[in-house]
Amino acid sequence: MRNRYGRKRNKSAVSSVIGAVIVLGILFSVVYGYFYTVSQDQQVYQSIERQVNSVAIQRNQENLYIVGSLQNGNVTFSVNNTGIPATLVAYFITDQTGKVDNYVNSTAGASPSACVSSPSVSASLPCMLNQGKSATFLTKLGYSPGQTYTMKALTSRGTTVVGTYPSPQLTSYSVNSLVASGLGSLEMVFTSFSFYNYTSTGPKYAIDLTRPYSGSVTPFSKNIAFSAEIVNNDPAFGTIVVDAHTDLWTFVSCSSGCGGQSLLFFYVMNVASNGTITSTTQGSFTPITIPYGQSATIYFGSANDLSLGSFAPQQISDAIGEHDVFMIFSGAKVNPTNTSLYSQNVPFSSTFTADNIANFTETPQSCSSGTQTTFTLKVGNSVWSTTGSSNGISKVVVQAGQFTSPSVGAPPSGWSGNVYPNGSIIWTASTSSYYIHAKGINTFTWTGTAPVSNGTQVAFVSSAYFVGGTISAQPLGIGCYVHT
Amino acid sequence: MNPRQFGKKKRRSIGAITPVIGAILMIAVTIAVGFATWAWARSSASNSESNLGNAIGQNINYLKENFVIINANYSSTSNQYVTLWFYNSGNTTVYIKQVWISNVTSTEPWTYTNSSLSTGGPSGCTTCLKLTIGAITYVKLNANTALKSGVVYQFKALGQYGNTYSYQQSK
Repeated sequence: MRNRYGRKRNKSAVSSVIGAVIVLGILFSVVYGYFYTVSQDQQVYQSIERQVNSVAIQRNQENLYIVGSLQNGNVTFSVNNTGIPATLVAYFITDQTGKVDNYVNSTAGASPSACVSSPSVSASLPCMLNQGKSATFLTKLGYSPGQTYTMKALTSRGTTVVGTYPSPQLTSYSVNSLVASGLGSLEMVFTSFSFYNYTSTGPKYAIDLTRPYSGSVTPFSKNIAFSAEIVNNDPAFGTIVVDAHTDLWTFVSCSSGCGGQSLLFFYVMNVASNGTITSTTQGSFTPITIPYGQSATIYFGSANDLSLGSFAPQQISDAIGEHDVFMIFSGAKVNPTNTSLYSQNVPFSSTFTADNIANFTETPQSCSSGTQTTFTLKVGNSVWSTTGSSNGISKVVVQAGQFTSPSVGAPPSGWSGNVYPNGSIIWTASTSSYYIHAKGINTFTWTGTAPVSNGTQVAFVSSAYFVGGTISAQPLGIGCYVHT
Repeated sequence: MNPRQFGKKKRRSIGAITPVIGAILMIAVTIAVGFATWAWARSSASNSESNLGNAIGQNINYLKENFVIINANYSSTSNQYVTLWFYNSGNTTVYIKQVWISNVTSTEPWTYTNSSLSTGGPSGCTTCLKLTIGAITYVKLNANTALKSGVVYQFKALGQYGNTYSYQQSK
C-alpha cells in the first residue's frame, strides 16, 4: 500500500511501536522494579548487619572487673570500668552452693543515671558507668564467715562480669596488669607458701605432706622442703613447663656489709602424693607442666640442681632472722604457634628463720555480737625448737582488751593465769619443769564478751615467750570475727 | 468490463478491508501477548522479590535476635529443678523455643530437652518463652532427673530465629 506521496507504507509500524512500548514497559516496570526492591532489601539488611556488628564490637570493648569487700558486716562490691562506657542493669550475689542471695535488676527501658561511687551510698540500677569510673553497691547481705560469695553484674549490652568475696587470689585483671608491667606469667598463691618436715632421710627421702607449716617462720639448721601453689596466668594463654633449674633461694642481709653470707638454694623436685621424693638421682626430675589458667603445687627441697647432681636435703643454716625468698622459674612456654624458653623471678615472699617455733590454734573463730564467748587456745612447742629440760615456752600473753570482762579459765597444771586492767591475760609457768618443751602442747581457756558489732574482725595481739635459744618470743595470730 | 479490471477491482476491495482487520488483529495479538508476557514477568518478579524479602527478613530477624543466659540457680529443695535467668540484649523481642540441659563433666552423657517453656507465644511458637527487650526474664525448668552436686551442667537455649546460647554452671 502506498500513501498519497507514493511511498510504500510499513504495515508493521504500529505493532512494532506497541511491541517496543510493551518491551520497554516490561523492562522498566518489572526489571527495574525487581532490582530496585532487591537493592532496597539489601540496603536494609546491610544496615541491620552494620548495627549488629557495631553492637558486637562495642560489647567486646567493654572491660569491667569487680572487687568485693565488707562494709558493716555486709557484702559490698564495686564495679570498675576500664573499657568504654557501659550501663549496668542488674547484679546477682550467690553463695558457694549457687543459691541467689541477692538479686537486683532494673526496669527495661528505664533511663540510666550516672553510677555513684561512694562508701555510704549505693549505686542504683540502671546506671551509666563511664570509662575509668567505678560503681559501689552496698547490699544488706550479711557476711557469713567461711562463705565465698560470687558477685555477677550485667551490662545492657549483655556482658557479664564476675567477682568473688573473699578474693582467693589476685583478679585476672590485676594479674594481667602485673603481667603487662613485666613481672611474668606465673603467680604465687600467697597463702600457699608452706614448709614440711622430713619423715624419712636416705636412701629414700619423704616429707610429711599431711602437716604443712606456714612458710612465714622456718626452723634454723633443719632439713626442710618448701612448697607453693603456682598459677599460670600467661596473657598469651601459653602452657608453661617448669624444668630442673627452677629453684627457691633464701637470702639474708649481712649486719655488717654483705659478702660472707651464703645463698641457699632449694631446687625443685618431684614429690608423690604420699610425700616420697621421686626425683633423687641426676636427670630423674620430670618437668612440671602448668596449662594456662591452672595451678600446680611446686615443691622445693633439693640442695642440687637435679639435672646436674643427685638429691640432697637442704636447710636454712646461714643465720637466724628474716630471709628474703625468691622463686626462680626456668623452663619453656608453649603457645599454639610457637615454643620459647621461659624464666621468671617471683620475689614476693620472705621467711623468718628461728630456733624456737610455736604452733597455735584458737577456737571459736567467730563470735556473736555482744555475747560472752569462751575461747580455747592451744599452744604447742614445735620439734624445731631448742630442746632441753630448762628450755621451752614459759609464758603466753593474749591481749583481750577489745572484749569486755575477760577472765581466765582453769590454767594448765603448774601454770597460773591473771587478767590485767588493760585486758591482757598472762599465763606463766611456775617452774621450768612446767614449760612447754619441744613437741609439748598446753591448752588455755579464757572468756570475754564480744563488742557490739556486725562484721568486725577482732585481732588478739598475742605472743608466746621462750626460755633458751636465740628467739625469745613469737607472735600468735589469733582473733575472732564478730557478727550478729 | 475488462476482466482484468474486474479482477483488479475485486482484489482492491478485498485488500481494503483485510489489511485493516489484519492490522487490528496484529495490534490486538501484540497487546494481548505483550500484556500476558508483562503479567507473567511481573508475577515472577514479585514472587522472587517476595522470596528474597522473606529470606532477608529471616536473616534480619536472626541478626536482631540477641540474648544471653546470665545465671542458673539449682533448687535446694527439689534437686531436679533449675531456674535460668535470660537477658534480651538485642532490639527485638526474643522467643526461646527450646532449652537443652546436659551434664558436661560426667562420664555418662545425658541431655534433656525442654520445649514447653511458656504459653501465649506468637503463632508457630506458642510454647516459647518471651524475652522483652532490655529485660531479665527467668524460667524454672524441670530436668526430669536429679541434678547432682559437683557436676557441671550446660544449658543451651534456642531462639525463634535460630540463634543459640550456651551457659555452664556447676551445681
